[in-house]
Amino acid sequence: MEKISSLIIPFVLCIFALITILSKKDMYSVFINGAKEGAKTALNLIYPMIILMSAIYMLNASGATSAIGSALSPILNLIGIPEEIVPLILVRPISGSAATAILNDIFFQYGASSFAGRCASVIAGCTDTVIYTVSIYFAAAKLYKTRHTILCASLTQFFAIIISCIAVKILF
Amino acid sequence: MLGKTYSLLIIVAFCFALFSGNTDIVAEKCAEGAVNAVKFMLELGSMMALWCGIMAVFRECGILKFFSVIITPFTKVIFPNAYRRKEALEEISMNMGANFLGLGNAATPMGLNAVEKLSKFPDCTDDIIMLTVLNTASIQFLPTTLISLRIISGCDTPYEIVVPIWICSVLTVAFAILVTKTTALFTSSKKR
Repeated sequence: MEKISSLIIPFVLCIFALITILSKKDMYSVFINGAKEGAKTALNLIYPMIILMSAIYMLNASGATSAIGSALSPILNLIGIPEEIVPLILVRPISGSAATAILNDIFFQYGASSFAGRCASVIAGCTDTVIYTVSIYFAAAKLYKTRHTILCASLTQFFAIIISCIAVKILF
Repeated sequence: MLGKTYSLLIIVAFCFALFSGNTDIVAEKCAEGAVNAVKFMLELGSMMALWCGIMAVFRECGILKFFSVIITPFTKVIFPNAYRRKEALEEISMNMGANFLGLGNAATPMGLNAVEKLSKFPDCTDDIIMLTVLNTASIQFLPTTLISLRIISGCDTPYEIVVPIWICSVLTVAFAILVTKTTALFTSSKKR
């Protein structure tokens, strides 16, 4: 499985190389123009990302995330979410790297094939960092009003967490 | 709205820092956050340049057209305005495809490119929202990072979670489409 996915990217690049060689058009300059445009988009995103990352780092360092986690865990426990994965649930929407660190921690502490480990895996597999995704997509679109985006994304995230725990309970 | 969200995060962090006495760490971390944001965006920038360049070549020779035609029945329903304007359909299909294969590095550039194109048309904001929400919950065919984390932790059965992830991803994406479509009905009726 891993072999397949590590092959895809080199394969796509190979197709690109073949097209460049075989085509009669000047594909090299097409590539350069496309690359320029892509880099421009990313560079414009630096400024909004600075404030976002600062805010998230402050939030994690202040101990707010872990405090909210311990306050919420009894409630989450009631709806079938194991206590061990509460920190993951809280961090998942705000920081991808912190979520990976917590996931790793859960695997080492409770084991990757424990109930908590499996729930954590499935949650990590079908969710993404909401704040980060919404921020860069809206910064790229130069839209400042997110309207119902955050609401829908949060609802989806919550649904994903619950369905993951249920699925693990049924399937294993 | 986004500015307010960040401000709220900062204020909460500040209050907690005062409470717990972590002020020096918080001061250090907010600078670290800014530095990491630049580092991170430069990294993303190099990926964007690579993938957007390759996509430009694929578009030039018609491969992208082929992909976007394949998923037409999907885009017609999910992104009606983009479909009507025939705008950014190729980028959307590549974004979905890359997400499906678990290639986050390639998916983000395509998604951002699509959103940038759609932003020129005010009636396409619903489609931008849909694409954003779909990118917060994507079908992952091969969750490679996750599997390697499981292997590192010494798990005997690192692949056992793949099928549950497929099932949950499909359900989550279906839910995401449903919720976004329904809330869009309410918010757009106010607008018109």
